[in-house]
This record gives sequence, C-alpha cells and structure tokens, in this order.
Amino acid sequence: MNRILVIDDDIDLCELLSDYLTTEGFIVEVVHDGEQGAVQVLAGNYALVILDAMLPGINGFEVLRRVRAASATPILMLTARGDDVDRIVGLEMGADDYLAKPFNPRELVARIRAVQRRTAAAPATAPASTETLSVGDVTLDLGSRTVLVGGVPVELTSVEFSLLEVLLRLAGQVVSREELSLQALGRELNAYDRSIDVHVSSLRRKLGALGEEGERIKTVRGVGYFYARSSAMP
Amino acid sequence: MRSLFIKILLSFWLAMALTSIAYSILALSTQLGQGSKLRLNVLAERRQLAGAMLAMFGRTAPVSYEREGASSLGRYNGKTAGSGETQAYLFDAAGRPLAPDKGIPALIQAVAAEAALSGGLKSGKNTKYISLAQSVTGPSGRVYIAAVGMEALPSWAVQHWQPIVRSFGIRMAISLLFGGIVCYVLAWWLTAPIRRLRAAAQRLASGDLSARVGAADGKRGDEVADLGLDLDMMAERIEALLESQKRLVRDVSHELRSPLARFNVALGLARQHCTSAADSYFDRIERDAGRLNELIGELLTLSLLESGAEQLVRQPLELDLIVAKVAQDANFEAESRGKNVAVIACEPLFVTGNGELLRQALENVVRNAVRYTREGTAVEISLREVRREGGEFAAITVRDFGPGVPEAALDKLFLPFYRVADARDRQSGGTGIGLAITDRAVRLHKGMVAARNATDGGLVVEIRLPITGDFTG
Repeated sequence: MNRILVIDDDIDLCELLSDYLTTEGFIVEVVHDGEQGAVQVLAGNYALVILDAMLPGINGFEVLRRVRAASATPILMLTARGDDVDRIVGLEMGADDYLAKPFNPRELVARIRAVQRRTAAAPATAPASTETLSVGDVTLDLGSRTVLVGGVPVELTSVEFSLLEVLLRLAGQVVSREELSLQALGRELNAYDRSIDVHVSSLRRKLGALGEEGERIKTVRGVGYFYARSSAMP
Repeated sequence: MRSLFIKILLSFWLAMALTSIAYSILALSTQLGQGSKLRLNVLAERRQLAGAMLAMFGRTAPVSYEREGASSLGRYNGKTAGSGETQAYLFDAAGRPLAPDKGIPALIQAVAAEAALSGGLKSGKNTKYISLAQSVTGPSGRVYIAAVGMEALPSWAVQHWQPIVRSFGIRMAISLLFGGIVCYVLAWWLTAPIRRLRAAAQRLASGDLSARVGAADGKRGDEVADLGLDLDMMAERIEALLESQKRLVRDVSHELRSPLARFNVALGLARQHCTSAADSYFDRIERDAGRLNELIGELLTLSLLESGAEQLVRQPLELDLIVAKVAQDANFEAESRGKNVAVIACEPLFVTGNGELLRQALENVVRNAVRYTREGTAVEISLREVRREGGEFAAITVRDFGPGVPEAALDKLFLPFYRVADARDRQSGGTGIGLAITDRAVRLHKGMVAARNATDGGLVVEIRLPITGDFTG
C-alpha cells in the first residue's frame, strides 16, 4: 500500500515531489485542484494524501472536511510555516499530521512511512480476531480500529486511535510526550512541536469527561499525559 | 468624582434639593409670618381685654370689698379664674394685698407696687404675662390698687417649634427621596448607553474585532446613538484594515516560501541522484536555505510588529507559565547540543498583553543564549518581581556562559541585523533579527530589554515588563 495522492496547486513542487517520492518507492499521483482532489480521494484507495492548506478555489481545510466526512484515509497537511492557527485547526479537523513549508523531503518521507506502519499494523492482526482493549467504559476494537465509550461508538482519526491505544495500554501510568509521538505518530517529537498536544485535546473532546472525576486524560506538566483510571474500578 | 453617572445624579439631585429647600423655607417663613401676625392680634386683643377687666374690676371690687369685706374678693378670682387665665387682685393704697389669697403672682404684686408708688395705669414689662394695675377709689373715698393679670397668649396660640421642625423635616425627606429616585433613573437613562459604548470599545480594544455597539440604541435617535453608529463604522474599518494586513503577510509569506519549498525538494532529489562526494556542498546549500527561511519568518514578524497589527490582542497572562514553556522547549533543543536550559527562579506574575508575542520575544533571547553558551553549561532563566521608579515590574533574566559581548556593542545588540563579530556569528547561526523582534515586542508591552556582561563571564539579558493589576483577586 504505497499509493500517494498529492493535492497542491504548485505544479513545479508537485513535479519535484513526485520524482523524489517515486525514487523512495512510492506510487505518486498529483492533483492541482482542491475540488477534484476531494473527489479523487474518495473514489480511489490511497495509503496517504498530502494536502496543501492554501489552495485556490476551495481551500485545504474544506477538502479535509469533505474527505473526513466519508473516509479515514490518512491525511498529512502542508501548512505555511509559523501559522499556528493552520496547524491546530488542521489537526483538530482530522488531519493526521502536518508539515510546514518549506520542509525537508527526508522528513516528509519519514512521516509517510510512520503512517504506513500505523495503518499496516491493523490488518496484520487477523480480521477474524476480535482483540479488544478495555479500560473502564472505553472499549477499543483493535481489529476494526473502532471505539466504544459507554457502548456508544465514537469517531476517531487514525492518529487519535493510536494515541488512545497507547494511553490505555499504560492506563494509570504517565507516558511522556516523546514516547507518545513515537508510538502514535511514528516519529520523534521535535522541539516546539505541538501536534501531540492538539491530538490529545481533540481526543479529550471526543471522549468526554469521566463523570465528576474530570478529564479522562490528565496532563502532567513538563512530563506527559496519562489515562486516569476511574476510582470506581478495581 | 470621575463617574458621569455620579455627576449627573448628584447635580440634578442637588438642584432639586436646593429648590426644595428654598421653597420650604419660603413657605415656612410665610407660615411663621402669618403666625406671628396672628399672635400680635391675639396679644393686642388680650391687652384690651385685660384693660377692660381692670376697669370693671376697679369699679366693682372696691364696692364689694367695702360692702362685704375681703371674702368677696375671692369671688372675683373664682369667677375670673373660671376662664382659666385671668386673675384679679385688690390691694390697699400701699400695695398690700387685701384678699389674703395664697400665691399672688409676683408679677401682679410688682405692678401693684409700682401703681402704689406713682398712681396711674401701670403695665408689667413681662412679654409672656400681661399685668395691669391702677389706683382706684372706693365709694368710701379710700384709695385702692386694682391689678389684673393673664397669660399673654392662650395656650393654643403659643409658638411650638417642634411640630414645625418635624413637618419641615418630613417635607424635606419626602422631596429628597422622590427627587433621588427620579434623578437616579434619569442619570441611569442618560449614562446606560454610554456604558454600552464603552463595553463595545473595550471588547474591540482587547482584540475582538467583531465587537459592535449594535442597533439597540437606534430608537433613541440622539447624539449618543449617533456616537454608537460612528463607533461601529470605525470598528468595521479597523477590522477590514487588519484583515487585509494579515492577508498581505500571509500572501508574502506564501510567495517567499514556495520557491524555498521547491528548492528543498530539488536539493533532496540532487542528494538522491548524486554521489556522496557532493554531500558537504549540499549540506551548505541546505544550511543557507534554512537561514533564508528563518530570515523570512523573522522579517515578516518584525514587519507585523512595526505595523502594530498585533497590538490589539491583549489578555491577562501568567508569565511564569510562558517562561516555563519556553525553557522546556529550549532545553529540548539544547540537550541535543550538550547544553541545558534551567529555570532557577520563578514567581507567579501577571501582565497584560499578547502571549504569543511575549513567548517569541523570550524564545529569541533564550535560543541566542543556547547558541553562545559553552558546551556543558546551562543557560539560567529567572523570573522575579522588582520595584523601580515607575512601579512594579516583572524581570526575566537570561544568563548564558558564553563569551559575552564587548561593552560598546551592548546596546546595539537589539538593532536589526547587528552582528557582534561577523565570522563567528554567521557560523553559530541566527539571523540578526531575533533580538530586534524581542526589543520591539517588549516595547509594545511598555517594557524594556537590555543586555550586560555578567561578572563571571557570559551575557545577561534582562526583559522588564510592567505588572498590571492583580488578577489573584
């Protein structure tokens, strides 16, 4: 599974990227228009979509929204550097990761491979297996990568699922942000990198609070996060 | 008395109160005037009555006395005493009382004595008591002194001050109360829209560019409502200007960075297809591309700061949190180079301003420090409250263990593109703009930043920001 779709209006950049990624062993398709890009993602079967945030016509976030409405295909957004808003909004809307332009192509490849590893991990456990992971009222179905909270299904992106899986496996213990980045994003955490924080915040919002005990995922300043076991549990 | 509401309330109320007092005093004096006129009349009548009684008594009393003796005199007193007020007594020519009545009022005795001395009608001087005495001749030819006395004013005519004061007081209280209520409502009605205008203006000033006064006051149709419309128009204009500013910066950023993005991928391709012999050259190209990118970022930030577009977003900020975050991130970066960043002192302090700007400002200083500090050392950051002329400030000091800066160059450090010594600086990275951004950002927050050399080597950069208010309630 190494089909990649690049949605970016910079023709030259797309050409260069296509050459680079092909050399790295990927099959690359390119689209320069957001509207068409959204259609193509949903019609095709890509391992990853690289989406530019600033597109003419319908902008990158709109494409993101349309794709996410119907598909869980991993999406990596290219944003303008220093534009925090873009980064955070993109991650909250369901992008799996982001990379600011101008980027190091080696970094891009590393992130693509991380995504591949993550999504490849799922089908590796035989579909017939109903391996689940439960902590309190949250149940993860590792085969189908779906989540139930108190019996109610919750929509999570691929990264959010991985993040929750790590936290639940180590429920009650603090997991450092570096570790979370390695396990959930498949890459090392950079300085000034807020992606983990944004994903955790999204996760908190989607899971909801744990009765009166507050947040399910608690922050430990300067260290990381942990999933709080309900005191009602054994 | 800063408040307009208070000014309007008090001035109207004062006007009402003074008017009320004036009217009350006028009414009171009229009332008093009439009262005293009445009393004068009553007084005159009483004197006349007393005179008439004296005359009558003077004619009949000696006759009764000479015919029936002293006991008959008791009759007059009893009779006249029936009216409750007048008393009549008969004295001999020397002023000695003939009726041995107890308790002859001293005033009557006095006036009788006077008449005894000089004859004729004598009148007592006491204003509260009318006493008249006259010498009369009895049928036998003997001389007597007849005297009568009565209260100058009947009880109902006496001036009592208490009820007057009380009614005056009640009148004043009522008018002040109602006046107060009306004035309060009036002042409120006048100043309420001003409060709304202020609320909208404050929201605008603190960064909510969509804040508007709204048409709530449209119905008023007066100058205050017009002011509200003007404020809204101004807010529209400001919002539009700032949006177009931001869009411009975004577009410029995009235009400048797109070629760089292509550049990077092309470089990646070159590395892929060339032998490792070219590696060191590619590394240099990559480094300079990185510098170019950083420069673009900082120039854009600087231009945003210069234009003042960032000024509007102001919020209360916890400085200690910002310092901690910057230190944490910088430490992460520093560790990969064998250095450290540590916070050696931290107090919870609050300032008002733009969190992102201050974070960047501090970050630039800290990253610089990390760049120059010797391997194996730790950059020390401290946050403390200091008192100087001008008030209380939050002082953030960043101290490194590097080579320091020549004295002459210390205040030039914060100029854009200034380099202490070209060769070394270009090697260690940095664009020369970071500190200029810090300087500009800090000054926007009414603070200042300065550098000095530490006594035992290294540079100390101090950022000072005024502490605004106390948010800890």
